[in-house]
Amino acid sequence: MSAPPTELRLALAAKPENLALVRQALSGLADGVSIPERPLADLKQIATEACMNAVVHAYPDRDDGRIEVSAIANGGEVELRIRDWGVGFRPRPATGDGSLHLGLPLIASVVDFFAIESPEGGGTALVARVRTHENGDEPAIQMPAAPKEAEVAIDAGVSARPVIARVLAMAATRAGFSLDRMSDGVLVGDVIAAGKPDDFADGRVGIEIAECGPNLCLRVGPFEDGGATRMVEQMELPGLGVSVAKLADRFEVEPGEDGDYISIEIAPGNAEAA
Amino acid sequence: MDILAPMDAVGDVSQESGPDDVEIVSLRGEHDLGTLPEVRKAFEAAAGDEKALVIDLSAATFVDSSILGAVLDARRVAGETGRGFAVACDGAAEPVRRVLEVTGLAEELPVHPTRNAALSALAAAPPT
Repeated sequence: MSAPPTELRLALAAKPENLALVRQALSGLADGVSIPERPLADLKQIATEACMNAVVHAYPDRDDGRIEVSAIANGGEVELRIRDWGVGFRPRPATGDGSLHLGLPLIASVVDFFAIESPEGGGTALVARVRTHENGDEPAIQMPAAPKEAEVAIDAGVSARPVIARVLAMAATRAGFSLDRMSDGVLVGDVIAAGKPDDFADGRVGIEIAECGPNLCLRVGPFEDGGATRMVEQMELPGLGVSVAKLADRFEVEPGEDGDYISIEIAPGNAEAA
Repeated sequence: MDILAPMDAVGDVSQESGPDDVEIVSLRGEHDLGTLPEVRKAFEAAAGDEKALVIDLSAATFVDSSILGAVLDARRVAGETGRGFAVACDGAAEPVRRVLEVTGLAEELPVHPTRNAALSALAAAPPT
């Protein structure tokens, strides 16, 4: 029986250092829905090349550009969509800049379907589909994204844990966290991923990740009414308090414009146990 | 999930001197536009030593087209200055093997299955 579709989105600043984060999210997705090595390699290559195009070409006069990556797996296929809001797709003369101009041909050579769109609102969207399973009766997946440092949204369920764990681990690695603290970050992600779909708005786990000074700041949500408090209560162990809060340097529920959020801050060094 | 996987994925570059006037630049982990400046710097530093160059991709787990461009530039510079050039790639990482195949660079570049094979090839056919 086919698994229901899963959707994941990443929203990122259009910076070279974020390309690795996209690949880690795709690896997490592959962990969750058993994408074989070959199609995973192709998905990573497509996403990297398309994001690189956006980083290099979409925002020539701006440093606040953003990229959105979404992946939807369904019926043994993953559809990737990489979108920017930049100057739009246009032929470019050879500039002698050393570029191989291999990105688009490389993408075209590994996909089953490939299109470039000029979406409403400007910019460019590249859509590519890759067959991940031959029998078409495999788990289905979807990934989305948006920008702060990075935003991840994935359907609550079995696919959420590997995606969130890998993205948090990569963010912690990039921020220079020690192994212990990286493990703590992954544990926090595990607890978030274990949340019930009913607690989250639209049944989807949303996390904004930002480097705030040397620390990692996570904003989890939005939650349905009371969902954030319910999640915190579920984390509480008799006589021990809220276990995850002890791993974090700041852990609090706060109201947002579209529901409650849990704000978490994790420092790269050892936290004082609460 | 192995939580260390993302740490392994972070790309790094190292340079060392090999036998017979060969410089070896090794790429480990994932490399893309984010690590391109470091990769180009290592290639340029190796070129400055006026020795033959081996680029070892055996421990690389991902390379994008910007890195392939740097590899091709390194080969061009080596050719222009009469220095030997070889690539070592054991194909263990699917993304690296795949990208070399689909771009045709597996045949275009002098790719050898091991570092020792690359060094042997350079020793057997020194540039003129």
